[in-house]
Amino acid sequence: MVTDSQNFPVSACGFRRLRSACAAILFLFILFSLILCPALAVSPGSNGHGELVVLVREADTGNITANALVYLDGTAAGLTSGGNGSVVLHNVDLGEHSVRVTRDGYAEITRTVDVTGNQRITISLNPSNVIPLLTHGSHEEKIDIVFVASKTRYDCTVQKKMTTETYTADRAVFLQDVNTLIAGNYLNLDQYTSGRVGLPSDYRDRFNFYYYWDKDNFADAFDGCAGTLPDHFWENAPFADAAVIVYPTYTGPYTGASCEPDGCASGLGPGAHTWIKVPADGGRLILHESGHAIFGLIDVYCGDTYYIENDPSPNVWSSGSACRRSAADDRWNSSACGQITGPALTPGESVCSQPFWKYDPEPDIMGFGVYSYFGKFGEADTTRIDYVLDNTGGAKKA
Amino acid sequence: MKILISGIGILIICLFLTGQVRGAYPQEDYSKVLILHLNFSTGRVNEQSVEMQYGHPPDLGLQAGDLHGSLKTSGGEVLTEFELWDPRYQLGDAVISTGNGTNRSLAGAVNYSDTADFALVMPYYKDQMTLDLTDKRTGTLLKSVNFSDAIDRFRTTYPGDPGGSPAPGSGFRFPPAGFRFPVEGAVMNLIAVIVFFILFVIMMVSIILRKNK
Repeated sequence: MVTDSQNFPVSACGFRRLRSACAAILFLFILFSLILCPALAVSPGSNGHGELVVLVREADTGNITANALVYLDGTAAGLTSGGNGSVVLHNVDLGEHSVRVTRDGYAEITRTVDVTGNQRITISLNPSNVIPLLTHGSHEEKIDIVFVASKTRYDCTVQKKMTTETYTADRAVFLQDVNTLIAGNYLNLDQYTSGRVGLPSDYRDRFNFYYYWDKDNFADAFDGCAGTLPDHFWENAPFADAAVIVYPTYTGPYTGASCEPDGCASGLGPGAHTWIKVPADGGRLILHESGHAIFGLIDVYCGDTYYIENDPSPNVWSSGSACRRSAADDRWNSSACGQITGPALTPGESVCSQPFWKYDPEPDIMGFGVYSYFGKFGEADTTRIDYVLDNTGGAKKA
Repeated sequence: MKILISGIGILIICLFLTGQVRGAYPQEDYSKVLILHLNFSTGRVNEQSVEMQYGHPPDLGLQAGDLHGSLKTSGGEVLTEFELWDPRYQLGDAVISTGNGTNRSLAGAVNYSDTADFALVMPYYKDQMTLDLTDKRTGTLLKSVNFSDAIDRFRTTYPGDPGGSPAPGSGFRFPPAGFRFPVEGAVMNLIAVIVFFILFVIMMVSIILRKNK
């Protein structure tokens, strides 16, 4: 019999030895992976150390939770397995440690554990109060809007807020209204903005939409002008660029300051402590309030409201010359700049006039156009909206 | 051929063992925020609570308002600045109906209150220590909020946390603060895969060369 080594006296023998060596190393590696590593991993800890088994379950069902990320003292330590929902942390120093557990769709939790030896803990995860509806990317890159259900509505005929279970008793009704508001307004923004200025073609992808649901803790749309958000809202949704409190409906015509307003904004532009309240059936009022809270737009109707020149890309200027300069820079018709004036709101009052100028004509959504079939955001409004869409995340991108 | 198939089989087993083809891996998240509960009362801002927690901050820098915020290091270096809305004001819009309700328009209803509770969510940057809150109209420093106690409490609970991300405009750093390999074992997994891929290639090449001879 002729052997390989006889046919290939030098080089083939070398190859064969090389191949044999590689195969041997592979074999040893597999052996090591399958037997030795696990054996070492589960061996009892040495002096001053323990083994901590973290078992993660769903609080509601008790089911095991795979792929939960477990951090020990602030450092990622492992993932729970699909088999038994646990992760084994080896060589943990005896003493007090923090165990943080995160998983998509669940509220993260941190537990303090006193490790005294080899031991096991069970951590129960509750569903997150902040549930994604339509997301397109990270919090850092998108405008994060969080919808919150109100437990109250308003009846102006009796000038009282009323408790309502329209949403609190039926999450599906709330979600239906929220989805209608999103689809009809935020995702339809190109229909309500100036075509001459235009929006980024991917403007819909620049929003993330969520809703907030805590069955024991709802918003109150009529606790103050803009209402109040649920307790711990900002702790649970710190990333929110704007919260939207939705209530079912406003009853009766507004008859003056003795009634609460239909809509209200707390904040001018996205970011810290910005939120609005709107009725679900308020038509484009959500666009008007979003104009304030998300895009930093100023009212252009004349009345008891708040005026500033909202640079950069303002829709209101503190002088006519500033308005005309902006118009010239943007190649608009500078003769369209006009002072914010209007008729007296109540009989006997003088004509309304404010020391601020606007460019966009009525029907403007930031003015009376919110209730006009033809109402739109004008060129100045749209330029400001563009500015916000283009600069979202700028301050957060570190 | 038999050896080749066996080799590929071994490689696949190795990859599974080392965790590289198990599918999507949850991303570690060390982003942190500071949550400040403050109160405006008769022109002064009072601190109610300051806590640091894991989470992502909202956008800063796109809000307009009469307040100015400045995040600073303990040495007074400004990390980032931004405008903030004065929480004592809220912009109400009431719908006025005329002509039997057929014509509807808006009336402003600015709501001002001398006292207002408000929450600010701030990003946490490396070396960040204070927030100075100033009234732009008067230049008055309304409040300087010191984060050191909140940061110390956080660090006590999470001593292994990698810390804050660099402030905007502080330049490129590699690896960025806060970046960690997915888990400790992943580095070993990666090295193991590379080593065994090389061994596998050598073995295959040796087989092919031998057959070609």
